[in-house]
Amino acid sequence: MRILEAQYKYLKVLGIGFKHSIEYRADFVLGLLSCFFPIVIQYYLWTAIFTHSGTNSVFGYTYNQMLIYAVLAALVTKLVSTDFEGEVTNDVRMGGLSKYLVQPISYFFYRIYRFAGEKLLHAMIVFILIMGFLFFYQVNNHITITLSQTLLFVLVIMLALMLKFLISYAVSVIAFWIHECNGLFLAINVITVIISGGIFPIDIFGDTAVSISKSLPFYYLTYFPVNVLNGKVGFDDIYAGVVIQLIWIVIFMLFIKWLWRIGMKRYIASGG
Amino acid sequence: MDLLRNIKRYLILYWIFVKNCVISQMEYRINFYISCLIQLAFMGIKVTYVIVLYNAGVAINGVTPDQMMIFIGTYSALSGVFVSLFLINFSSLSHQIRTGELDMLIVKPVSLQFMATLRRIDLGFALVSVTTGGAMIIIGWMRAGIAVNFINVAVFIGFTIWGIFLTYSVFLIPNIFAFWIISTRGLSQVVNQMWDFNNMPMIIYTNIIRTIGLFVIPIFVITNFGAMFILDMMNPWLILWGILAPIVFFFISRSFWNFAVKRYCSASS
Repeated sequence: MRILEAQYKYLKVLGIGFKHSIEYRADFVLGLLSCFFPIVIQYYLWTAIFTHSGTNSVFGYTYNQMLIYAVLAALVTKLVSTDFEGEVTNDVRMGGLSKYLVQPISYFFYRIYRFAGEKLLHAMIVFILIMGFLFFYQVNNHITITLSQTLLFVLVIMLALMLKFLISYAVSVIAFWIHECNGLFLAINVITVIISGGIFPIDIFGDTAVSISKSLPFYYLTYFPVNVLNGKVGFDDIYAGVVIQLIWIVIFMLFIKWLWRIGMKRYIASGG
Repeated sequence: MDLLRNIKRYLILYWIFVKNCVISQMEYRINFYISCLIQLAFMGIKVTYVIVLYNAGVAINGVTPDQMMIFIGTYSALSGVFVSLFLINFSSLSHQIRTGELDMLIVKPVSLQFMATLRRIDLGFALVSVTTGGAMIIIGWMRAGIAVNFINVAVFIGFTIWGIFLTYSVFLIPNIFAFWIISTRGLSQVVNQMWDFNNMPMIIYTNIIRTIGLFVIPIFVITNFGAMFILDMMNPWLILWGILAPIVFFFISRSFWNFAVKRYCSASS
């Protein structure tokens, strides 16, 4: 019974998150529109490079794969982006965190359910866009994307969302030490996008970079999900990748537990 | 004579703005470092484009990666200048209109446009971008083996500074719509994204995009002409347009501003 009650409580939070995302849907859609120009620029860039290189494959990608990568990476990056770090900062600075401490609700679970609720709508929008794009592409350019690839993509993207949540939650602990950290979060997020392959595939940095980044969590945020759908990663590698994703999720959970314990000691519950 | 005196007056005023902003930034040093850090992160994105070009190792329409780095370097250097000098003012314009804060500026005995669009300066962004972008330009210039003579250097710098002037007008125009639609966030987001078209030299685009980017929304003029001049890719007509465009667009933005201010009806109080 008690477990059920606990579940109910967090399902409410999930609902709040979902409603929040519906209310601010225009924000997300505008954000998606802002992917449009970078994609156009990349389209011309890759068209120019492929026409003048005289080969079929650049950085190990065919022309079609590269274009698919550019579009999918932009969409996936928008999907796995987080912006709750600022809210955590506010809670820490203004003392909003106190109300979670005195109530029978865990701040971590509150945040994760809220995040899940918000991402529900975003995930649906992005998924429909990706499928629409791939269907259109498939009809015109004779590429094939199988059902199992699509299902694996859904699994991998869910794990990627989870992992990105944990990374951002770990980063937001900085708020206990530094007061003005929104700019810092922005810088960290931009760098994360670059090294997780959100703009160009990691392959542009060379083979060594790819093999190093395979053992880092960032690889599994954008590069890996996109290439699962793109057909660049074989099935064996997909399963290995999912295992590493899970390992990183466990590592970050332990890390967060430890980090927040230290951070909490510095919390002074200022404000009303 | 009157014009000269006015110019001198506004230059002195602008220098005071710069000084004020530097003083307040030195007081809140952390913010300054954070601006630098943000710009550094965004420079990372621009550098990835250079990495793509070098590692692909392809000359596009006869332009080698070294030469392309000069274009990207100019774009990178100016993108921070754009944020430092203009964007932080433009983005607060709609706020000032919504809340009626513009009242305070209207009553001042200087040009309202000057006060509202140039008052704030955050040098952190420009500092980082000019250093890294400048390094890219110099490295590209050396590696491409372009002659370092007075004409090349002077014209390159001239076009670049003239480009900053053009940037002001081109990107102010969409923000002036704030007088009608109040919230320009969506609009200016889209327009600011257009700035990123300069991330690549304009030669990679099709003719239609090039024409639009040169004459309708002249973003390509800003960062391409300096590099195109030293690479001998300019013809006299383009040089003439490069000199004229900033003046033409300044007058457009100026008259549009004057037209729009009449719509201002002071909110609140």
